[in-house]
Amino acid sequence: MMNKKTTFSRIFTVLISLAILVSLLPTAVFAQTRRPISIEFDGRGVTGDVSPIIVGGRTLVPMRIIFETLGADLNWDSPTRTVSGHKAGRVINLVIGSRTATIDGRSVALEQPAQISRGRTLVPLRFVGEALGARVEWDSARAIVHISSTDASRRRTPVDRALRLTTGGASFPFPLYTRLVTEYRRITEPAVTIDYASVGSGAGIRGILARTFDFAGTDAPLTDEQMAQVAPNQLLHIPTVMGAVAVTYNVSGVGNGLRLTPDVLADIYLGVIVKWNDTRITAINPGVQLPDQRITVVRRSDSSGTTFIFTDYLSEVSERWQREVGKATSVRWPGTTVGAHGNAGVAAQVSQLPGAIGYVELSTAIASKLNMAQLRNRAGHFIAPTVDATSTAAAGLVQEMPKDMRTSLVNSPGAGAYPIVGLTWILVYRDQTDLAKARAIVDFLRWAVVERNLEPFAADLFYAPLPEGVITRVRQQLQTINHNGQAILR
Amino acid sequence: MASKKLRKTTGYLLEFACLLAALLVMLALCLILYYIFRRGIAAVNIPFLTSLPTPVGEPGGGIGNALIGSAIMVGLGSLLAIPFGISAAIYLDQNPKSKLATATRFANRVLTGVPSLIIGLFVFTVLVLRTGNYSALAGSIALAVMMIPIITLSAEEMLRLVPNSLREASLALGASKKQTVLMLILPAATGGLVVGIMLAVALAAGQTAPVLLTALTSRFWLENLNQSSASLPVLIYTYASSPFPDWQEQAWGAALVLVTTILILNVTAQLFIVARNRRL
Repeated sequence: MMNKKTTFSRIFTVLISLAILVSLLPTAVFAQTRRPISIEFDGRGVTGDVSPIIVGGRTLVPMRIIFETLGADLNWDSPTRTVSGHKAGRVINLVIGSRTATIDGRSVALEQPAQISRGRTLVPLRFVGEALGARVEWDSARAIVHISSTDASRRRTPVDRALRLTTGGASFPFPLYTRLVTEYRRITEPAVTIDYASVGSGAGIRGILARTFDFAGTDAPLTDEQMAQVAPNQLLHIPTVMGAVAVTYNVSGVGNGLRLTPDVLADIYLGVIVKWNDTRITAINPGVQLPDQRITVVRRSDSSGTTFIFTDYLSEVSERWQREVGKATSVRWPGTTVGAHGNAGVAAQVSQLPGAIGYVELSTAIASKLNMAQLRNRAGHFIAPTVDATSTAAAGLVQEMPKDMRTSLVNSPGAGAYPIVGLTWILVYRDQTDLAKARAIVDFLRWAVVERNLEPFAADLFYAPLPEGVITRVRQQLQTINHNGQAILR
Repeated sequence: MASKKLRKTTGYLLEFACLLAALLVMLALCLILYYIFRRGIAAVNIPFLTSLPTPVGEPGGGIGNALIGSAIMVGLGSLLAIPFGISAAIYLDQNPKSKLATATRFANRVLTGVPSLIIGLFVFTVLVLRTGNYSALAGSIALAVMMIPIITLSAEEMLRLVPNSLREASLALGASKKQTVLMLILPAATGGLVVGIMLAVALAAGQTAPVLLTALTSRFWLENLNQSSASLPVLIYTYASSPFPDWQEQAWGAALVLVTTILILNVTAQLFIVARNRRL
């Protein structure tokens, strides 16, 4: 009896272990045979309708993708089944199924010929890439092919050993910084890895003051009290990009571009104007049918740089706002408001609550397809939030920028300037204690801001680049960063 | 007669109410699982589980580093917490009425009630601020601090369930106290101990605040325990509150992975216990 039971339980245990093993098996097999290959060109993903394949240890990619990515002209001659690519005077020819290709008429042996699969012509990636002057690297662990347009000349060597920086702060520029740190890591040798945690401007400031962060991001400049916690001129404010805060709304029957004036916006947030068909709103929006609907005011519940920029603007245009509420990363809101967490939270509330109004950074408003108000600027024009209108706002204020760059860009005087615009900064200590870290930080900031490598990324995400005058100031600031009195940047 | 009928009816009604309540709880769990599964399944595939996150606007990208970060921190946290918790529980079981036992029990109960954020702040102040360095190690310690009281209290309950007659029999046969604890009480209570540990592991795996405050986060692979590390809950928190649809989808995918992993761990542990109990 006892014996029988033991036998049974043994069988049971074996069965369970088998079941677990079997459940793991297919994934392992799958991972080996059918792992999708992705292609990255200068750190950005490249997609096509057909996935690359591996034949005999060589990666074959759709010809159109590789030639277009590398900027080569493509010709397909169907009688001879020949693919030819032209770039900067160089001509390469590949014949489908042939193990011989030509570069400028010179024959080259191929390990795998070009072939046609599922109606698409696939060509050997490394041969084509290198023939067209690019560098091709294969990351087998992640099944990614890295193609870099120009190789050695773009590599940077700020430090002589691999280094990791711990940073964090503002969530507003976080999407941009994720791209910058990935790209910067790719082009540095030994690699400089920067971890940027999206924890909010307030936490970023606390982190740099406690020196747990190597640098910090913030959308609100340090207050005088905060500056007093460190030695004078010790914490530098390095602006990186500018962004607009859009006023968004959800009013039935009203499309994009509702007009608002500064006093109307302030009075909505002060709880003075409570209905959408208030005469002060209808008066500036002739021809727009505004409903008899209560205005639901949505605001950020967390401490936020976006709130700082928005309240900074309201304080600038409304004396009553400045007196009763003021500007800060979180404020005591007057009237009845609905709080939401993060830019995405506010966007979600506005799109769900009929009659809602809220403020979010421009890229969120665009990503969430929200209606955005046109605001009357100091010059009297109604301006919609765009990247151009953001740049214009900065241009008008460069001259007035204080030496330490703790400045506000709201309510700019330019004719085409959008009025609710803010800078985002990186906070960094002037006197650095770790030479390697100092070199990495300065090189990263020079690469990103001074050499303008952030601009293509910024444009994609609706951040506006800094005007020339400000970049010159950034370079001067970076020159003051030192280790034991020795400047890092020469 | 009438009173008997009334009693019976009341009995049925109450039974029905309890059944309904039980079903409602089950329903809530099933709905949560269903919703996470439906929203998350589209994002989950092998590259998603093995690759690094990509920046905004780049296709692909996964949770590989967060998965490894979470596994290492929860694993290391468990390794730290289990010996402490079980040892404390053995002490409480062996000396149930000593003053130290009462104090320990009280302290552990208070600790289970402390919000995880406070535990994170504690480890942040003691470790991160002192060393000026966020690290996976600090994250593990924060998780261990959270897990110890849960393991201690549940383990004590489980050890207490071992009948006194068994202990007395063991001692009567001449076994030492050490032999009784190691060879009788602990094996007899294993099932319950594992359940308590699994509960603690599940709780630790889902923590955001203590991990964010101690290990921060990262978008790259963890190279050593002294670095800041990604973790699943922090990744979910960051992605879910982002405005980008692909990140939000990945947040659902990561949530599905987290929930499934914990479920599989729990089910495996239960099966293990079943198999083991049959052998006993």
